[in-house]
Amino acid sequence: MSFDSYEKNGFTVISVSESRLDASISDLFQAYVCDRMTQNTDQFIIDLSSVKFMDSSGLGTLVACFKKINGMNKNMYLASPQPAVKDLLDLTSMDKIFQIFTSLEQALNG
Amino acid sequence: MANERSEKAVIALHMKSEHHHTALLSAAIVGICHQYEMSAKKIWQVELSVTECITNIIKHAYKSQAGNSINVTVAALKNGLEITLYDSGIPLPENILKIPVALQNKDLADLNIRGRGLYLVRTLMDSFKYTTTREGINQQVLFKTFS
Repeated sequence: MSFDSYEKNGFTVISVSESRLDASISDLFQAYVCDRMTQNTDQFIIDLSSVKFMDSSGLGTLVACFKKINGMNKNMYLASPQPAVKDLLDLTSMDKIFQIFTSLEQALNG
Repeated sequence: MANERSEKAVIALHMKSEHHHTALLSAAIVGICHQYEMSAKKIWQVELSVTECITNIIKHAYKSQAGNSINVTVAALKNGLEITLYDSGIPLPENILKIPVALQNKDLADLNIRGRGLYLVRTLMDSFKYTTTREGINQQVLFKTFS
């Protein structure tokens, strides 16, 4: 399975275990996150520590998930983006839209 | 940026229009970039741009239909790499080709989910050209200097 989720400190942590978050798995990822939105927690962390490469399809999926979660008055945070992912977020100015934490621990501690 | 056309080498690659093949083709191009000692940043820029172009071909030219051909040539010119992607699908519509040169992230409600691919290619490559031949072959030509 490319994705995993668990609860910790009141957060639902969704981790991507693929090195690429691109068009080949973006729809699957979105479906996986949507499936977990109905859980009782209202704080979601997307753990990107394993993702070494993301394209605009992966980014679009994060935006779609963010909009849906926000629409439910819940929050979504990004944790541990690797350099290429961070560069993409900066380049598209999405670093101003998402709340990004450099590590999962930081995100869990708010 | 002028592309000095004294080709050292041309490599031809081919893939079918399935997203899960993209990573392998990108890896081949990344390997070529390493041969020319391009920086890690430039290699990422090439990898991302090629990935975006392939995604556009699969989604827009071939309407996500598997089994269609995508041909790629990589020419090492005197001062950089010229990567050309060929497909025989539907040409990219004008509205996609006319994506603004700068992204504007509006309010969350208006934030676009898609449509950043060509913006990235135009931003990251030294030049990008999209043409359709009389024979109906779409060509995307990307150029990136070595240093």
